[in-house]
Amino acid sequence: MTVPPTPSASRPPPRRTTRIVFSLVALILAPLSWWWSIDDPYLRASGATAWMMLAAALFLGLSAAWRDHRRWVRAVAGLELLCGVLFLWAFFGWAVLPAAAPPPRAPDFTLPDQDGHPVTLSSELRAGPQLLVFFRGHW
Amino acid sequence: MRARGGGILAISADDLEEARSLRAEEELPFRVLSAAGLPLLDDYGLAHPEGGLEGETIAIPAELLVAPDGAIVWQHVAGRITDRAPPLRILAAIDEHFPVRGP
Repeated sequence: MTVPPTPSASRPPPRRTTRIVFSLVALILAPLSWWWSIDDPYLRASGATAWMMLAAALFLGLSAAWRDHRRWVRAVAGLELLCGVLFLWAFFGWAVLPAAAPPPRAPDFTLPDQDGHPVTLSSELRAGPQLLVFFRGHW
Repeated sequence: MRARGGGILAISADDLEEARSLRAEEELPFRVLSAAGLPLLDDYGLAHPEGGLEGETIAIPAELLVAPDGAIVWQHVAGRITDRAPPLRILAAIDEHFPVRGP
């Protein structure tokens, strides 16, 4: 016959299943919210919605695991903490570009356009001002 | 820009094929230029070495407004890979530097 383990405290630890589930939902929504708002330049640059979701996930997850001793709850909270650290690193480390300073005058160029026709900046400028948009790539 | 006689030129280190498919897929109304393998990005101080998916040099995202005399009168250079100039700020800069005079 097995003896049930005696709880160390007189009261059983509170179970915070709802809170940890909501924290997981917020964690999943964090990158999705940034993706959905990618066409808004301010949200795209600041990642504000993703930050808020991540903060909510961390708050809910850590506060749930604080008193809830079940292993999976602690594992989820730990995963969320790891995601938070990764997100911080991605935003403040990986995504930071080297400092760049274009010259005061635009160097002239001749480049092929999408159809292979050469385009020369100086001759385009004869028609009027030009907006040059440098972008990372087609992806 | 058209009302001012000018235009928009998009530039990246993509090759011609990628430029063509990008313009078609996104239905871009402006020309997409290819600076693949050329020192242009260095000339503009906008090279990001090993920034590409395969470690190639690509452009740092930037928007430059160039006056007919070649001077860069307004610019926005990204500090992070997700940084882009808000379209309204670009339009405001165009209005400020190249106002369209009414009849």
